[in-house]
Amino acid sequence: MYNVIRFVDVGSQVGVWPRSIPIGEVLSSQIPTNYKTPRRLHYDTKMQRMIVICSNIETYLPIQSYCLISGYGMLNTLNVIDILRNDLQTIPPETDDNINNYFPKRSIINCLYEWRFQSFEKVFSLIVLGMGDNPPGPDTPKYGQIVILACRISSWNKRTMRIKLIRKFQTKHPVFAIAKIDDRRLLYSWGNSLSMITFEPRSSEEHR
Amino acid sequence: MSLDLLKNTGNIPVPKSVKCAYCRFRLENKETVFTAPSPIIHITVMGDKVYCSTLKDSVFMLQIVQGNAFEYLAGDPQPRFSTYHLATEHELLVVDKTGDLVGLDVNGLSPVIWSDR
Repeated sequence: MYNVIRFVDVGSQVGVWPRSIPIGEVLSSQIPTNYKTPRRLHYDTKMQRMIVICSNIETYLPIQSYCLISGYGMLNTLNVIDILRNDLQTIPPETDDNINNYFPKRSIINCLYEWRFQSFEKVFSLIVLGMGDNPPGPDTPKYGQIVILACRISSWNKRTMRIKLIRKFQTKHPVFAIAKIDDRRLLYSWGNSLSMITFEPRSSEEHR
Repeated sequence: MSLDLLKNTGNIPVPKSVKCAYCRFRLENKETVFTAPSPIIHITVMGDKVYCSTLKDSVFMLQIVQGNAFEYLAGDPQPRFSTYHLATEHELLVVDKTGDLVGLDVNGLSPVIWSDR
């Protein structure tokens, strides 16, 4: 049994819809896929791929995949779907040392936002994830964080994604919402508060 | 929702960024911190106005006055059920406790009487 994402066409030309794309296959067979719950959907305009954030609250053994198991069994996965080809993209295990901090323990992904901006000659497209702790008990402190990722399609295999951690900001409360103010400013809420992330280009001299 | 509860709290420590290989640009957390009475669940930015839906108090409206500072402008005086809003050109759509769709004027958040249109 697989979880599926169902798509329908809206527009003048409608194909054979609705159609279903299984999202369970992205993980290894060690994960019972029927426990995955899609929580957030986002269409990335640069990659032209659908990003699906899934979470569940089961406890499993750690696996070699783009996910992390928390002490409370919170599992977050980021799935990327080519909706034109009904194809689930694979995300190879990263060698980056920071991989274990992408989806930290006890956290759940509350929101995501595609942030595009230009720095000199290059246009960057980043995925901004707002996360919050999800521990049991009302008195347990709940922290949060903003995780900014760069996603791109592999140049040698179009079915493979490359993901890199760009920045991570810790917050004192869970991050619930993200919105763009202008080309250089991003607004986000953490608990009852608002903060901004600003983008500043660096000159080539500073870059060196 | 009182203005006292929505004042800018000033120099609360903000988290620092983590260094990484991407260095063509710099991303920074700005020190401006705005505090509402309950968690802010949804944000919409339209021009220099910011609309926030909170967990307990429906919607309020802020203005970005300069740089990273906010000024409280107005709030929906009647608590609604919805923690989400949909912003259109003229109004903010929310759902109240009875499940009715309510339109709030984007300039003052006063309820819009649709039969007048």
